[in-house]
Amino acid sequence: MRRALVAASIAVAATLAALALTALGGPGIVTLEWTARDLLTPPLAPVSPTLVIVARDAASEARLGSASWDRAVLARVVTGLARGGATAIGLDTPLGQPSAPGRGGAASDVLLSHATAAAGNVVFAVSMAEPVSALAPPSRAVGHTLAPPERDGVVRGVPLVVRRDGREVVALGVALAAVAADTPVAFLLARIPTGPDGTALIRWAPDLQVTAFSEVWTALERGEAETLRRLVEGKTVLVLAEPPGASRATPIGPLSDVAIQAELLNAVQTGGWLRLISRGWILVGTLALAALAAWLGLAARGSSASLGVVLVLVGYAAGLALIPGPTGLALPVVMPLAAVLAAGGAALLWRQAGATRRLRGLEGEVGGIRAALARQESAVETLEEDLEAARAAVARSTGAERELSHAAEALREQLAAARLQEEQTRARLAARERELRAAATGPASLSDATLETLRGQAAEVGIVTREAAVLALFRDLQKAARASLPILLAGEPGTGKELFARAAHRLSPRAAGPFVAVNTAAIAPELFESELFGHVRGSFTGAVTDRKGHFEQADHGTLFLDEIGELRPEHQGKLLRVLQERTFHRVGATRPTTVDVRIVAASNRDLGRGVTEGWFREDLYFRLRGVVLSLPPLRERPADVAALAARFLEEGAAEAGRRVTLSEAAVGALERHAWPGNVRELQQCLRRAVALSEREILAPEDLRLEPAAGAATRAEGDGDPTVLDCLRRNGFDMQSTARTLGWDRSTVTQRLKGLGFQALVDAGGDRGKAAQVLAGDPTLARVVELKLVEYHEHLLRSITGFDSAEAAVAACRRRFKNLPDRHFRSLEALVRQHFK
Amino acid sequence: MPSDTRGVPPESTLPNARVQLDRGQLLLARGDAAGAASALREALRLQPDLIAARSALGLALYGLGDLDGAVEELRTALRRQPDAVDARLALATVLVARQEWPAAREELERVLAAAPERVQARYTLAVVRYAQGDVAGAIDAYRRVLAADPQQQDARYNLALVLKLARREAEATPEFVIAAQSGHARAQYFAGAAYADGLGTERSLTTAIAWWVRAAEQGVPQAGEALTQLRQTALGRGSRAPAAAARQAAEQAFTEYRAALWKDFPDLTAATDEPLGAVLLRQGRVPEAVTLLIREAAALSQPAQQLLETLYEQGVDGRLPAHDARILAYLKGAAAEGLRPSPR
Repeated sequence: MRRALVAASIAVAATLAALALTALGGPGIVTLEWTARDLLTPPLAPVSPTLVIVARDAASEARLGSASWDRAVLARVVTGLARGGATAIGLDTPLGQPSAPGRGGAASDVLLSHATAAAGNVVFAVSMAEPVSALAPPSRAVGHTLAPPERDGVVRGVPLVVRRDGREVVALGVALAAVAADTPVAFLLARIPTGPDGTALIRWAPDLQVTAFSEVWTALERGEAETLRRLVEGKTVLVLAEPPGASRATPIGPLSDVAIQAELLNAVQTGGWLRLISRGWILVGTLALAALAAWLGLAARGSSASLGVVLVLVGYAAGLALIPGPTGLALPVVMPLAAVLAAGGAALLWRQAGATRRLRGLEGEVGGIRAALARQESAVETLEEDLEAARAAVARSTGAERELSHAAEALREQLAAARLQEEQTRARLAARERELRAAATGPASLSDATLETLRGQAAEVGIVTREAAVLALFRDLQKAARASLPILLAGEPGTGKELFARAAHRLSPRAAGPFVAVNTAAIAPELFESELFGHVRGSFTGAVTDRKGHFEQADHGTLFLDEIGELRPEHQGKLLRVLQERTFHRVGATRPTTVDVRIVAASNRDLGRGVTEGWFREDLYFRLRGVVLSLPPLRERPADVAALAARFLEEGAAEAGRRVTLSEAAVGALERHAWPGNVRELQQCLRRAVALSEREILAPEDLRLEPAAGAATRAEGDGDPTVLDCLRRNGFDMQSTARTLGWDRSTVTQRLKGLGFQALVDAGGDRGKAAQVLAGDPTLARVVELKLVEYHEHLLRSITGFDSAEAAVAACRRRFKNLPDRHFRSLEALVRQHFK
Repeated sequence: MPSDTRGVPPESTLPNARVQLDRGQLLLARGDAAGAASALREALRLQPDLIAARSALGLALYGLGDLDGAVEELRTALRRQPDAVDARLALATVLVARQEWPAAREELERVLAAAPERVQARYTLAVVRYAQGDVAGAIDAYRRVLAADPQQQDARYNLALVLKLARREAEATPEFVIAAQSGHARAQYFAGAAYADGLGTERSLTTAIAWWVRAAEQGVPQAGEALTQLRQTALGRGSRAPAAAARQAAEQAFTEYRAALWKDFPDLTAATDEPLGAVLLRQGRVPEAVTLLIREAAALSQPAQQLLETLYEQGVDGRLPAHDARILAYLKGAAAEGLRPSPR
């Protein structure tokens, strides 16, 4: 309903705009309208079988002169044609002046007058500029030859009647047709469609047959009455005897005024008219077309929206070419097409704007859900611990058994509810993230043929995939690569971000330039500027020569900035300046260096979330995200596992110099595996299998796949720095950290809780400070603080009601029994501090 | 074509400009405009103020088609001698050729003011007034020409034309007839047309045929075509089948015309079964016989037609060779018209 309303509004606005364009556009628009109409609507009309045009030719000029001819000549022609049986004879001889002595004088005038009177069916063309002589022959009728051009200088119609000295003069063609048909002129005029100015639009006939004057003259001189009779009997004859005057442009080329009357005559005799459509109908039709275009632009999916608008345009153009022929209707061109273009374009823009709004909304929603999730995770864990404590209490005290079991029951219910809530939140998050990815990568509905083509093109740049989603990404990459837009690649580690970055380089116009890949996380902070921008000799200790930085190395090529999410805030600012200004100073240099570098950045961290949480600069984020491509993890592209495995196996086998294949069971095992380390993990796995196994056909056990669960046993072995590092990398997201480490989520939670308590002790109980230390990166401090507050509050709630620190510590030992010993000491310190 | 130099003194013997002028005028009168222009230029070289030579040079240049040059020479002459009537008349003639009607009329009126007896000037003035669309003025001018010289049949013919254009048929037709009687070919055609249509006179197809035959014999194509049309009517042919009455009237008119031919030969007794031409032929009056036979055949006399065909094939011993050109021209026309098969 809302969409229909928007489409209608757009259609009305577009129609009004098109109306204004045609009304105020001036001669340019008129020219455009008619030129397009001439091109699209071939103005062909049938040729009247009863029309004979006799026109002066070179042979007749050679015999009778090239100036105006003696009227005695015309008198003979009129007599001959009348005797031959012509139904009407039109003559273009001007009647303004008597004949000069050199052209027969009064004798020729009498001859023509006599011949005209004898024939009784002669129609003369009259010039509107000079008066008709009192000595003019007694013709049956006269007709004007006016044909005013349109504003673009082209004649398309003839005014049927003009006023002259208070008398109405009809056009020569109509007057002649009336004499030929022996009908009153008014009868004909009533049947000819005219515009508001009384002009009839002609459908032109470029193939009107013209008989040479010399042919008629020869027949007359030889007295060949039969020849003349065959030529003109029962026909309307228009004689073009005057030297051709100025010609006017018409849709079929330049024609003289009288030749235009011949076309008019043909139109009268064949009904060859173009009918203009009234303004009202044009408005209605335009509105309907614009509404259709707007509706298609809004309602159709993906590229079919633009296709729909184009189809409306093409359909109308086809109508323009096809409809006038059989119907004689002259369809408007500019107004409907302009309205369709405007309405279609506006609808597409509206859609685009809607999609962007939705994207922004989704991003905001995802941020909110994440915060909620962090709190819910903590709540679940807290409840779990409470439940555990309650159970322990039940075991110890049988007296309070009933009461406690009630408490335990209540806790269990709360826990179930909290878990359910968390699961739901997580599902919501996953759904929103999927939506976000789909919105960012555009329509995945590609045809099979397109997919096949894309598959081949992707393989050429080393991207092995059968997944439509990845191929859609690749298609976007192709487009982005051609337009030198910055590309931001997102995705878990090992999903192929560098491969995509290299592909972007190879597919871009810069392919011949250098590709420089830089892992920003691996650069020591103090060397950041020197590495990226270079330095001049002596600018700092150790700078013994001039050195080009990565930016200069990548001049006219592509600079791939991997792990961009790890950049410190001050480095983010410096990078932003270079991206904005395209110039920088080498360390120690006084002159700026200008480079032409295309940036492809990548991060396994969610930079959008970084912006929300404050650890990534928003302006840098928007500068980098020309096109964002979110590479899916391998577990979301199961169809690719087998193909990738085959590829890596082949590489490994080639290195080892032997033939190795995978058993079907092994392929199945690979496909079932979760691959937390993504493609890179798969690659390592197969190389390891080739190296360690001696079998030619690898079985599942040769792959040494570790089950994701059960890794908890390993947990204790990993040191706190490793875990903290992993947590930081995953933005303190418990689930993804657990997946990366291959642990149970609660194990990770316990480790973070322990680290948090330790940090709180170190910071003297200052939660903000502790969170900053733990986060390492100030941008992560907020999320860590949220968790720390939750843990600390829970601890404090757990020891409420105890009289002494000892009793509280004893209770905590039972309640936080999963906390590693080294961290329990921190907890103990916190408890004692509380009671102090 | 070599120019006719009989009676013209050779160039080397010319002692002075006057002789060159005489020579130039003589050549001009003979139509050798180029020779005249050369002699007159020589005269003017010897004596630049010789006005008569300059006037004549103007006319010579007009004859050569150099209208601008002619006007220039004549105007120069008139500047030096404004009362040179011949030069002014010549200038008016050239201006008429250039269709400069107001200027021509002005010059002509000046000529007539100085020399009212100049009929040629008055005639040209009539032409100019017609060309200007001044019908009444043209009629008046032609009437004055005829008052001065009633034998000016061209003027009479033109007067009749203008009267006809002014729809004054009753005045026009008698003038056409007078001019026709004097032998004016086109006047004969129009006189015929007036009788055929009964305009300004009683309708008489017989008289019309008589005038048209004479005009056609003088080469007026319209007369020939008018006769052809009348014959088609009489024979019931043509694209639009003529009414029976028209056909009968035409047929009768030709019969009456043939009968009327005998009146020109009072010494002969009219015969009903024999063409007049045959009688004349028997009497040995061969040229007259051929003329009359052609007239009778053209007036739909079958015996005359057959006799002409025989004459064309065989001739008359010693008097008329076979394949006579006049008879051939007639037979060809008759064949084109569908009267008889074409002669071999």
